[in-house]
Amino acid sequence: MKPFRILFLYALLFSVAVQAADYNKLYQQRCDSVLSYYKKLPYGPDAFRAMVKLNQNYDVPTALRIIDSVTSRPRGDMFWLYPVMSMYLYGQKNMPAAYKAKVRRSLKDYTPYRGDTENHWVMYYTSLYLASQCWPNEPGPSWFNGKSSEENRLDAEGWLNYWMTTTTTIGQGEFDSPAYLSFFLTPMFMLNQFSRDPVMKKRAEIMIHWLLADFFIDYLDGQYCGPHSRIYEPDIFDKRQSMMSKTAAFFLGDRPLFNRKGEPVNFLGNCLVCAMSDYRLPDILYRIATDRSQPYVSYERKRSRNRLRYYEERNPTVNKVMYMTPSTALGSIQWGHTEQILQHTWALTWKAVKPGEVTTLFTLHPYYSARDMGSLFTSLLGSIVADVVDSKTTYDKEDKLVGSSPYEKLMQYKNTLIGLYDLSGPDVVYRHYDGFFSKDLQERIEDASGWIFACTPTVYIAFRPLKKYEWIEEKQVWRLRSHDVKNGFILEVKQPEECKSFADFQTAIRANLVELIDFERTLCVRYRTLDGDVLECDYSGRRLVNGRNDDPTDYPLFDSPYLQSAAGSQKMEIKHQNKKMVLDLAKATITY
Amino acid sequence: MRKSVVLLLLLMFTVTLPLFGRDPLIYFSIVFRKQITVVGQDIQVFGLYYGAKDAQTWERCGWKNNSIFGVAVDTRTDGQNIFLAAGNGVLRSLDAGKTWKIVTDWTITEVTKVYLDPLRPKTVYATSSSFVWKSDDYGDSWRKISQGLKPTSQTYCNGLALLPSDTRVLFLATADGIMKSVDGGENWQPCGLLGREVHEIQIAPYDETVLAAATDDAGVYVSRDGGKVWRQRAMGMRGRTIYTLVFDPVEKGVLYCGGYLCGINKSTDYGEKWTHLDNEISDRTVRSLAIYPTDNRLIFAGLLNYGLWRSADSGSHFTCAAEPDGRVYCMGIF
Repeated sequence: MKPFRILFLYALLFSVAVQAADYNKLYQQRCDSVLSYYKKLPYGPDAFRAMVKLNQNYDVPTALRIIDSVTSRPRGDMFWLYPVMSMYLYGQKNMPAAYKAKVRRSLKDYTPYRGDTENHWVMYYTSLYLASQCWPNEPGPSWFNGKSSEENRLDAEGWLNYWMTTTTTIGQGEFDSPAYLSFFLTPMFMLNQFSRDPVMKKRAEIMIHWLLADFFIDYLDGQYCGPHSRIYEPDIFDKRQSMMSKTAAFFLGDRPLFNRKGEPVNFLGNCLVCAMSDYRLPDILYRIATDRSQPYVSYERKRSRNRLRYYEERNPTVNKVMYMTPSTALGSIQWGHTEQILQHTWALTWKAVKPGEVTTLFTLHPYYSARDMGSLFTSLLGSIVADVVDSKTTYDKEDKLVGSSPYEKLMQYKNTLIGLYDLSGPDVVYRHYDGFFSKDLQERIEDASGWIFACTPTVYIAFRPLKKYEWIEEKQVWRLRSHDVKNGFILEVKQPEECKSFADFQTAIRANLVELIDFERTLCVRYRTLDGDVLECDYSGRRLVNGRNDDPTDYPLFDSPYLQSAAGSQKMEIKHQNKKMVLDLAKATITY
Repeated sequence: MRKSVVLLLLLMFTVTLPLFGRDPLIYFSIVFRKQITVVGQDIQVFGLYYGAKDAQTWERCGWKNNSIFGVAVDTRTDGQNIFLAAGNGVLRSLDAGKTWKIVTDWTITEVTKVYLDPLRPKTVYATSSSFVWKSDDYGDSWRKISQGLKPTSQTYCNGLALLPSDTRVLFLATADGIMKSVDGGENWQPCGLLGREVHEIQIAPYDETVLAAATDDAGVYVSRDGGKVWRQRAMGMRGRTIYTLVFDPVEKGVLYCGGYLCGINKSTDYGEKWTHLDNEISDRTVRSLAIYPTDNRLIFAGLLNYGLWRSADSGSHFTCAAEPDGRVYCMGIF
C-alpha cells in the first residue's frame, strides 16, 4: 500500500474516531441534562420521576411518595407495568426494603391487562420477564396472574422470542408508527439493560438497532416520513412533535431538548429509560439517520397486524417504498393490507423552512368497515364500528385524516406517484377522495393544463387531479375533494436544486405525457416523468415501468443503499460508506 | 325406543345430579360499560358476577377489569372450580373465585368460550379467536386441536356444542360455518353453513338430533338430523344477526333466540315460525340467554349495554336484574 494511502486511511479513521467521541460526549450531555431536569421535578404520580430521583439518589422522599401513589392506585395495564418495573430496576439501589415490598405487592394485587396489540404485549411481557427475574422462585399465588416466577419467565421469554423472530423474518407489525415504535423500543432498552441472560440481552440489543435502523431510514429533518401503519391525528400536521421525533432528538441531537426557559420541548419521558442505560447508538446508525447527501430508494417488507378472521394469512405482507432526497421524502404502501384505522397509505414530506410549518401532503379515501375491524378484534360485527369509534372517533367519518381504503391503488416510482380510486361499487359509503395541501405551501397554482403546482424553498410539487375537484379551507390545510367515482391523481416531486426555477419546473411538467386509457373502465394511466421514465398502471394492479413489469409483491425486508435484509434471514446488513454492521438475531451476534 | 328412554334418563341424571348440592347460580360477565374504554385506561370495574335466581345484589369476583367472554363452572365441585374464557387466556379458580390463575400461555389469547366435558372430568375445551384448545389435565396443560380448520375464519371459533351422550362429538361455531369432530376435536370436518359466521350452536336437551345455530346476518338455522341438513328458519323473526339461542328444557320444540337490536324471538315448533316478544327489551341487543333448569318460565337475558335482565313469565315481561349499564358478554347457570 502506498504511504499516502496509509496516511489517508489513518486520517479517515482518526476523523471518524473524533466524530464518534464528539457524538458520545454530546449524547452524555443530553442524558445528564434530562436526568438533571427530571430529578428536580416536584411530586407527580409518574413512575419515571421516581425512577430518576432514586437512580440519582436525589429527593428520595418525593420518590417514595410517588411509589406510594403508583402502587396504591395502580391504573393503566401495561402502560403502568413498564414504568413501574423501570422504576424498580433503575431505582432499587436507593429504595428502602419496605418500598421494594410495595412494588412487589402491587404485582400481586393489581392485574394489568395484556392488551390486544403487539406493542402492548412487548411492554407486558418484557416487564413480566424482568419481574420474574427480580423475584425468582416465588409461587403462583404471589403473582397477579397466579403463575409462579418460573412460569412467568418462560411465558414471557416465549412471546419475546416469537416477536423478535417474526419481526426479523417477515417484518415488523404496526410498522413505522410515529407513536407506537416508542412502545416497542423502550421495553427493549429495559431488556437490554437488565436481562441477566446474555442471549436475551444481546437479542434485545439487536432489536434496538433493528428498530432504530428501520426508523432512521425514513427520517428527515425531525420527521418520521410516511407511509405509516398507525399515525395519530395530532402527529400528522405537527410531525416534529411525535414521540419518535422526540426520540430522534434525544439520540441525534438535531433539535434542542429544552427551550430557553429550561422547559422540555422535544423530550419524551420514555427516553429516560435509555438515558440511564449503557446503550450507545452505533455511529453507523447515526450516519444513516443524518446523511441525506444522496437520494436513495428504500424498499421494505412489513407485516399486517394479526388477522383473526376473514383472511387466508394471519399476517399478510405489506410492501412499501420510500424515495428520500436531501429535502424531500415520498413514501407509499405499494401492496398489501395494513392497519385500516390509523394508516397513512402515502405521504410526501419535506424540509421545513420555519418552525411550526406543516410539511406534508397526502390523500385518502374515507372508508370504514365492520368486517375489517372484525378481522382485527373479537368484538361483535353489529357493534364493532361503534366500539372503534368510541376511542378512534373519526374512524367512520367522511372528513377523516387517517385510514386506509381498499378502493385506493398506488404506484410509486422514485419521485412520482400515481393514485387510483374506484368508488363506484355498491358498498362504497363515501364517494370522494380528499387531498391535503399545507397552507404553508408558498404557491398553490391551478394551472390551465390541469396541474396544480405548489412549492416551498425545499420542494416543488406537481399534482394532477384526474377529475374535477373543489377546495375546502381548513385550519392548517386546503382540502382538495374530488367526487367522481372513477378517479385518481398523478404526483411528481422535485427538489428546487434539481430545476432551474419553479417556472421551469412547471413548464417541464406541462410537457409531460399524461394519458388516460379507457379510464372509466380500467382506470389506466400512462405518464412520462420529468426524468423520462414512462409509468403505466391500472386499477387491476397491472404496472409497467418503461414497458417492463413492475412487481410490488415481493420486496425483501430491507433493500436500500444503507440497509439490506432478506425475508426469512433474521439478519440485517447496515452499511454506510466504508462502514458495516451485521445484526444476526438467530446467532445473537452483532459484527462490525 | 327403549334405547332413547335409557339415553334420556342418563342425560337427565348427568345434567341434574350436580344440581342436588345447591340451587343453581347465575354467572355472568360484564365486559366494559356502555362507554367502552381504551386499553390502558382501566378505570371501569367489571368482570365476573354471580348470584341466585332471585338475587337483588350480585357478587363480583376476580380481577376488576377482566374481559371475560365465557364461563364454565364445575358443578361436581359445588361451584368451587370455575373456568373463564378471557382476553388474557383461560383462567381457573379452585376456590370459588377467591384466587385465579391464568392456566394458558402466550399462545392462547382472546378465548371466546370454555367447556368442561361432563363425561371426562379432566377434559376442558377452549375456543379462541385463533384455534380450538384442549386440556386433558383440568387446565394444567393445553394443546391445539385444529386439524382440518382452514385459516383464518375457521380457526376463529365462537363456541362449541358437545353431544351429551358422546362428548367426543363436537360441533364448532366458526366465522366460516360449522365444523364437526367425532374424535374429541382431533380432526374437524365441514358440517354446513360455510361462509356464514356462526355465533352459537345448541343441541336440544331432549333430542340430540335437533340442533340450532345462531348466525350473523342470516338468522337461525335448524337441523333435525344431527347436523346433516341445515335449514334457515326466519319466518316471523325480528333481526337477522342472532347471537344466542336456547332450547326450553321441558317443552319440546320451544326455542328462544336473541341478537342485534332485536330483543328476543320465540318459536314453539323448532323454529318453523317465530314470534317476536314484545317486552321491555324488545329492541335491545341480546348477547346471551339462559333458562333456569328447574323453572322453565324463568329466563335470563344478558344485554349489551343494559345489564342482566330477568323474566318470570317465559319472556312476556323482563326487569333489569343487575348492572344496568354493563355489557353482558356471557352467562351461564350452574
